[in-house]
Amino acid sequence: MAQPLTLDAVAPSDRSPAVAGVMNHARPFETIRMPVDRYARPLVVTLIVWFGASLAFAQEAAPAAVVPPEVVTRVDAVLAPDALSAGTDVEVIVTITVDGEGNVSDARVTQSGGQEADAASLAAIQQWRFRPATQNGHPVASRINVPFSFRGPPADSNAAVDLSVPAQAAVPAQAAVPTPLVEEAIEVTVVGERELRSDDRAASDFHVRREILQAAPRQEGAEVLRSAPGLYIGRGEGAAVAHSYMLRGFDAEHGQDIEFRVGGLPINQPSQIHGQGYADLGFLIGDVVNELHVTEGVYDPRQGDFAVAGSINIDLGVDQSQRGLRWKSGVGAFGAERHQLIWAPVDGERETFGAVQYSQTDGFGDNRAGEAGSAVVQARLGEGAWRYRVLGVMHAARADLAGVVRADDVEDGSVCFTCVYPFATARAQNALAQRAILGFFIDYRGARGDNAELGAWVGYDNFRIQQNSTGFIQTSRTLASTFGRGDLIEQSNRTSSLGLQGRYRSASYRPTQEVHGTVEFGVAGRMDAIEQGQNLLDASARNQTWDRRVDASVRGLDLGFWGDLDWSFTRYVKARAGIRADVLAYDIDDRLGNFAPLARNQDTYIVGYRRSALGTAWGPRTSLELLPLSFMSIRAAYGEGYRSPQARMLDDGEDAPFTKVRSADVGVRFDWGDALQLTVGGYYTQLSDDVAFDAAEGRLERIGGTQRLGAVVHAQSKPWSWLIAALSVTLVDASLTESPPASVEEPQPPFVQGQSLPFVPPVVVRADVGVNHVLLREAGPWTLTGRAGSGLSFLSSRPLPYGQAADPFALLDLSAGLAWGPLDVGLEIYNVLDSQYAALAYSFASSWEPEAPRSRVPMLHTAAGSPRAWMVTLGVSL
Amino acid sequence: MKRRRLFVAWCAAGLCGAGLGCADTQQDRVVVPLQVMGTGVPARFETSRGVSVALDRADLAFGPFYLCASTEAGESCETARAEWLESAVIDTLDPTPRDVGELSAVNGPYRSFMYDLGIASLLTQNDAVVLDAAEQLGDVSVVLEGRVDLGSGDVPFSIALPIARTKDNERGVPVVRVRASTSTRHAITSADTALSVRFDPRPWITGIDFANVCSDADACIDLAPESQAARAVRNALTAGAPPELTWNPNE
Repeated sequence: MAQPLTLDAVAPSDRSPAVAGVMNHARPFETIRMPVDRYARPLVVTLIVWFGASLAFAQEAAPAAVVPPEVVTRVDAVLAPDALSAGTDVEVIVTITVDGEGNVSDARVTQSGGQEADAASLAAIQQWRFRPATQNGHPVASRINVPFSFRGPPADSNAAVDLSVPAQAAVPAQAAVPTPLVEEAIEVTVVGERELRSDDRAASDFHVRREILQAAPRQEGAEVLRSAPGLYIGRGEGAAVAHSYMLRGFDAEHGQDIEFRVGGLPINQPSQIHGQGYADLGFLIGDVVNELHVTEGVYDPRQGDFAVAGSINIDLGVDQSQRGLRWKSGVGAFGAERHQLIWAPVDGERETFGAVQYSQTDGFGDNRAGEAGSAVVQARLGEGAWRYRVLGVMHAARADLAGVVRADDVEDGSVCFTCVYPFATARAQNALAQRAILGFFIDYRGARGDNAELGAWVGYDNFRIQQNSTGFIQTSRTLASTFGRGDLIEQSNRTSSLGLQGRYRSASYRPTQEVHGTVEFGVAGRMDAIEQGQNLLDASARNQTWDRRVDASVRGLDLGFWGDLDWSFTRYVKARAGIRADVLAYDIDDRLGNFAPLARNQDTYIVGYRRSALGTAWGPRTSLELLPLSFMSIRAAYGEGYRSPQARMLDDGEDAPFTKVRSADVGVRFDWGDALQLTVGGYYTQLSDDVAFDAAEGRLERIGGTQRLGAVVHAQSKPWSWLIAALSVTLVDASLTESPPASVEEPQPPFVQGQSLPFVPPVVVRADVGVNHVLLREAGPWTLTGRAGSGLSFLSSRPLPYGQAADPFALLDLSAGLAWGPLDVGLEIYNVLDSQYAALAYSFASSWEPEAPRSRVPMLHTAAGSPRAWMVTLGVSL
Repeated sequence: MKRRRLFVAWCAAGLCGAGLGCADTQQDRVVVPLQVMGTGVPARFETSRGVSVALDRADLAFGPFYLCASTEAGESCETARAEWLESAVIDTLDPTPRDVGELSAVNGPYRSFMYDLGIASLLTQNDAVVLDAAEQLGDVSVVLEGRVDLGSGDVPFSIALPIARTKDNERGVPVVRVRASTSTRHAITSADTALSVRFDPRPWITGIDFANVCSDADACIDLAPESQAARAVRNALTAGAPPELTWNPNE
C-alpha cells in the first residue's frame, strides 16, 4: 500500500507553487482543486500563438504539477427504459479512487439520483479504466468525482413508443452522459508515493515528461535526450560507439561533461580510452523511458564525477496505459529494422517491466551497417516503509564505421559525403560494445518523513574500436622502418566496476512555525578495474599489429561524501546548502610507459611505468529560491564540481589535476500547470582545465581553461489534453580563458586565448510537438486514436580549430500513427528536410592520398549525419 | 536545396545576431598566391674557390613546400601552418616572378619551412615519388649546365641530380628543412597578397672542385651522382643557403 501523499489544501488563487505538489506532513486525503485550463484553449492555433496564449492566460491556470486522470475506457450507465418518467433529468455524482495503475476502486455515490440511477452509475463506473493522474510525471492515485446525467424521454414524446424500446436500445435516451473529466470535474485528491527527495535546485533543473519524450519520433531510444533543453546528441560513429553530446556550451564528446544515470545506475566510465566519462546509452529503449531529470550546472551535492555541464537522470517505467505485453516492429529506409518486446504486468507498479530490443541497419552510406540488441529489466518490490528495486541492463552492438572524410575531397569529388575512402584501412573501421549492469536499490520512507536510499551495483563493459581518422600519416614507434601502413587505430577498453551509494535525509525540523528543514548525508563510491590498449593495425595484412601505443591497467577508486541542508524560511524563501568532497585514487600500470626508442637504447631499461596518484576534489553546492507569487519561482545557485582525470595522463604522486568546474545560475520559473511552464535563466561556467578531441591519437587532450556565459529559455505546455509541446532555446558564448601549453611540435597551439571554444554551437534550439486524439470513438469494437508528432533540432555553426567551422543545420522529424484497440501502426520520417549535415566535424591534418605528397595543413573533416529516412511500425498490445 | 540552406543560414544569423559571436575562432583559413623566381645571376661570376663560372642553365624542381609553426621543420611539423602540395620547375637564372599556385594556410606565425625538390619521400612508398616538375627535368631535381674557366679557356660542365630523402628513419619528411631564423619570422594573415620564393643557384656550385672534377674536359659533362661535384651540389641544395622568402613582394 502506497503511503499517502498529502497536499496542502489551498485555493488556486493563493496557493504557492512550492507547496503544490510537494509533500509535507502526513495528512492523507486532503484535496486540491485541479485547474480548468479552458481559458487558454481558444488561443492555441500555432506553436507560437500557443506559447503566447499560454503566457497570456496561464495565470488563470493552476500551479500544480499534477495532471488529472484521463478516461481510457468508459462504459455508459444504463437505466431500464421505464426508470425515469418523461421530462425528468437526474444527475448522480460518483466519487472514485483511480489508483496508480488507472483502476477504479472505492466508488461511492456522493450525490444520489435515486436508487436505480445510483446503482446504474456504480455498475458503470466500475468498468471504467483511466490513465492515472500524474504528479511531476509519476503516476499517483487520485480521487475524483464523476457526474452521470440521465435524461428521461421528452415530455411530449410518445410514451408507449419509448417504453416499448428494449433496454439496450433505449440507452441513448436514458444513459448517463459522463463528461470528459479533464474538462469538468473536479476535485482530485492525489494519493501517491511520497517523493523521496526533491532534486529541483536551480532554474536550470528540468523535468522532461514522458509525453514530451514520446511526442517526436526517435530513431533510437537515446534520442529522447534531444528534448532536454540545450542538449543535442548525434550519432557520428555508428551504433556501437557512444553518442556525441553537446550541452549548453559543452562539447561533452562521449559524455565527459555530463553525468548520466539510468534508473540510478551510473553510466559514465572513468578513464575510458576512447573518451573520459564515456557514456554509451545505446541500450536505452525509448518506450520505457519515463522521464528525464536534467540538472544543468552543479548545484546538488549528489552530483558527482562528470557533472560538469550537468547531470541527467533517466527514469525508467511504463505507464499504466501502455502496460501489458507489447510487441512492436518497424522496417525502414536503408534496410533498417527494429523489433521490440515490452512486458509490463498490468497489476505491477510503473517501474516494473522487462524490455528487449533488436535493431539493425545497412546504413545510409558505405560501411555503415550495424546491429544492436538490448535488454532492460526492472522490478519494484515491497510495500510500506522499505521498498526494493532491481534493475538490470545488457547490451551488445557492432557496427561498421565510415569514419570521417575531408571536406576538400568531398568538394573535388574524390569521395562522396556519405562514402568511405576506398582503402582497406578505411573499410576496416568498426566498433563493438558489450555491457552488463546490475543494480539493487533499497528505499526507506520513515513515518516522520525521514527517508533513505541505499544501492549497490556491478558492471562490466567491453569496448573495441578500429578507427582511421588521419589516413596514412602514422609511423611505428615500436618497429624500426615501418611506416604508412594506414592509421587504423585500435582501441580496446574493458572495465569492471563495483559501486555503492547511500544517503539519509532527516525528518523535518521545525524550530519555529515559519522555519523548517532537513539535513542529509550521503556517500557514493565506485571502484573500477580497467584494462586498455591502443595499437595500429594494418588492415591489408589481416589486421596485423604494426605499432603498440598503449597497454595499461588502471585501478581507480572514487569515494564521495556529502552533506546537505534544505530549509524553508517562511513560505517565500527556500535555501539549500551542501558540500561534497571526493577522494580519487589511481594505480596505473602503464606497460609501454617510458618507451622512447629514439632516445635510449632499449637494452638499458625495461619498458614500463607504474605509478599512483591520489587527490581530493571538494566544493560547495548552494541554491536559493524565492517564491514571491504562487506561480513564480526565482532561483539562484552556485556550485563547484569536478571531472576526474584520464588516469594515464597522471604522473607518479601527482595531486590528480581534476578539472574544477565553477557554475552559477540565476533564473525565474513560471509554473501555470499544464498550460505553461516557462523558465528563463542565465548561467556562467568556468573550467580549470578542459580537453578536446585529438584526431591523431583518437582521444581527448588538454586544451586549457574555458568558460561559458549563456542563457536558456524553456517552455512546456499542454493547452489541450490532446496536444503537448515544448520549446527550448539555449544561447552560449563559450571561450578559452587560456591557451594550452606550447609544445615543440606546436609552439603556436591551435587554440588561442579568448577564442570561441571549438566544437560548441552557440545556439541550440529544440521544439517538440505531439498530438494524440480520438478519431472514432466506436470504430468497431475499439476506439480509433490518431497521433502525430514532430521534433525540430537546430544547431548553429560550430567553430572548429584552425579557422574551420561546421555548417549550421536543422533536423525535422515527423511521425503519425493510428491506434485501434490492440493494434498500432505508425510512420516515422527522420530528417524530413533531408539536410546534409555533419554529425561530427573536426579540423586536423590528414593524408588520404597514399601516392601523393602528404597534406599537413588542418582541414575540415566530417562524418555524415543520416539523410532523410523513414520507418513504418506495427505494434500489437495484449 | 538552396532555399533550405538559406533558411538554415537565416536562422543561424538571426539567433547569433541576438548578441553572441558564433564562430570567432581567432583563426582563419588563408590562401596566399605563391610565386617562384630565380636570381639575376651575372653572366660570369666567381665561386668561393676563385673559379670563374658561367651558368647557362639552372633548373630546379621545387615542391611540395610547407611552412611550420615549430622552430624545427621536419618531424615536429606534423601539422603545418601552410602548404603547397604541387611542384614546379624554376629557372633559377630568371628573376621574373612566376605564379605557380596558392599556399593553403591557417593564419599565424611560422618559424621554419621545408620542401622537396620534385621528388618526395612518402610514408606509404618504398621509393620516393617523382613529381611532375622532376619528371619534366628527366626524373631529376636539378639540372645545371655551364662553363667553367680553369685557366685554359671555358670547359663545359653539366650535372643532373635526383635529390630525395633516402634514410628510412626520415621517410616521409621533406628533404630540405630550414630552421627558424630572423628571415623566417612572419605571421601569416589574410592581408598577405603573395609569397615569393627566390632561389639563387650560385651557392649550389660553389663547393664543386672544378679543378679536379674537370681536369679532363669530357669528364665535366654529365657529372656522376657519386662524384664530388654531385655531393657538393646536393649538400648545397639541402643544407646550404636556403631560398629567400619574401612576403607581399609587390608592396
